[in-house]
Amino acid sequence: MQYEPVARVYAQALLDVGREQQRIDALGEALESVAAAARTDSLVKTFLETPALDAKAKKQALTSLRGTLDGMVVNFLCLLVDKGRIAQLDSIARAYRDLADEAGGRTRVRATTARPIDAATQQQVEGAVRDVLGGQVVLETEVRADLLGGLVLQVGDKIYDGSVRGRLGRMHTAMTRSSGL
Amino acid sequence: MKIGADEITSVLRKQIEQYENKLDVADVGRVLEVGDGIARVYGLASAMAGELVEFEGGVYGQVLNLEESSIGVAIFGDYLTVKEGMPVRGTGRVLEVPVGPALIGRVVNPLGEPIDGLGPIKTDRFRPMEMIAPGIADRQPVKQPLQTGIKAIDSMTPIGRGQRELIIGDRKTGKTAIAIDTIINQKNENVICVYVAIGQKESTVASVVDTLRKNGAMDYTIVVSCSAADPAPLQYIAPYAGCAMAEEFMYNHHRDTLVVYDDLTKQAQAYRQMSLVLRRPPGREAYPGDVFYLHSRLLERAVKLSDDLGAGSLTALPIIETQEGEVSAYIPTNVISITDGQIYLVPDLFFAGVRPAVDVGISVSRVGGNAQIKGMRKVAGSLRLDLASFRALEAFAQLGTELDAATQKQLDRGARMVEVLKQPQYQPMSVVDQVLVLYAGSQGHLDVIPVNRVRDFERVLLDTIRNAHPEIRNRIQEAREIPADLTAKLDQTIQSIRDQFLGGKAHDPR
Repeated sequence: MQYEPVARVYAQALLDVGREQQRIDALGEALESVAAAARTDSLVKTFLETPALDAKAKKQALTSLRGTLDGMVVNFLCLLVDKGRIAQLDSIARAYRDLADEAGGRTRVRATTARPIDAATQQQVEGAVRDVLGGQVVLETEVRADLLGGLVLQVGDKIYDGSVRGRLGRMHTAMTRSSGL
Repeated sequence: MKIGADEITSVLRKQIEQYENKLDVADVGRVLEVGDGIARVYGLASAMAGELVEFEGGVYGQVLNLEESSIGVAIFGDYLTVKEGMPVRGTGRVLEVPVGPALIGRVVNPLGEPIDGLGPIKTDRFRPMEMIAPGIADRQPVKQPLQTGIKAIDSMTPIGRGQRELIIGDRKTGKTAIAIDTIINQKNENVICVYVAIGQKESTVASVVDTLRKNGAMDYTIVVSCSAADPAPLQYIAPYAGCAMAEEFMYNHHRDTLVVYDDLTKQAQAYRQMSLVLRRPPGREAYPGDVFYLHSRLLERAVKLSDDLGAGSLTALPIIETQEGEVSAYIPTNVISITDGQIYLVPDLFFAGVRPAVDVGISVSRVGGNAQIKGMRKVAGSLRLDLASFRALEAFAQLGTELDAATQKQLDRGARMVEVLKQPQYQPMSVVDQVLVLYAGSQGHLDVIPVNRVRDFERVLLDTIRNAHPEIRNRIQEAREIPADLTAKLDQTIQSIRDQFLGGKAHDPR
């Protein structure tokens, strides 16, 4: 995943706090929920990013989350507002997730299929990946109908394309090449 | 504990509600920062590149940069009145200038507002400043001459209507003088002229306007002035504004037009300043990557329109100032490659008294040859080569070696042709007179006249022919050349005038 270098710096700082307090995952979830709120609601996003409002107003609104959200994360968000980095919230949340995965020895695997897969199949895929990579595996699923069938696995930068569309494409390449076209 | 995004949203929403009016980013933007004619604006999500936007208080700007969270706006007008936090609204229009006959004789700024104190300009016609240049089907070849009235140019680097001819040279080499002479010479040529002054001193522009007025040239000329004190965005748009004013006459009045851009170096520098403030990445000599397009899109608008479109034309005379004769700098090479030729002015010639200081060796006109009248083409045909060989021989002769008669003759002829090509400022010459003088020179009639008296003789010759032999001028005027049956009479006439001039006896040049 791509994000600005600065996002990694902020994420690392929060991660260090999480490690001290043994609450890496809890902080991650809280951070992600705010990032998701900004992603899904354009008004929230605009509110956080707009330079038309000063830091005081933004911090006031964020402090109201103190009951719902982990206090440490609220503090962190206020810090981002002060430093003018709140616009990078989404990349910071992503960077945090990646760093937390790394620290926890987890591998994130993205499975894309043509139709939704059931829990049993998910287990099966997870098991298969774990056998190859070792360690803990977190499976994320995505549905894309244009794959026609089969499965595409993305592990880090590598893509294992076992989809029907991919196989047809390779077949097409092989056939046109051998025919000398 | 797992917290949902909805929960966060609902809590935040309650807090945000009070600011809702400040969060409308689609139609209204807010100024983040202002500096050097550029404003950064947050919001205005619906803005389009090039769109005209209005700041509170009536100052206008143009959207130049569209970035993820802000837009960069060039401010046209007093940018000191634009303040942080000020609302900005889109207008959905592009930059326009007033155009039409009402502008003739006026001095305006690049927005078309009068600055000559002669009252408002009454016109209801507007044209966008930026126009896509006409395509191939809308054009026809350049074949009609645009007489500059300058012997050295009309004979050797002729300019056609619809051509783009660059005037390039160091400071103080007479670049503007050539352009002004050309405008003055359009008096009886039915050409509308636009003189665009970019980044010059107000006093210089005032004296140019004064000269044009004294010579009666303001009757068909528009002056667009943007001085060195004006903000960079205005200097940047000035040539496009001038071009749009000329285009109106070309497209809608089917007229021939001439636009002088004096000078594009300053415009490029203004654009560089804007680009750097807009944080566009600097390239060679710190100019932005699209500085070539800046000039190419402007000069592409010079055109000779097809007969279907009324056969109007727009001739462009861009001016470029070089530093220490450095033509291989970035902007000069760009503009040289865009234009259809260049008139190169050199300080050495200028200070040696050869004025206009045109270096005939490296000045060219790539399309103007077709536009020359037949008579001129004949007398000027070998002129360029003669002068080039004269320059070579001249250097050789300075070594003080003995010269054979043929070489000496060539040197004598060359020295007299150089004299003939000299011409005072603000005295453009009709093409018939030019043909007569160059004919006399190329036929050797001047060879016996002392070099320092050649210019006197030129004056006497033209005066005498004009007053005593008007039929010669009339015939050349009609035929656009020297008719074959006229040459004998012309030779005889020139000889008799010369003999009279020299006091009855031929002078020995040695």
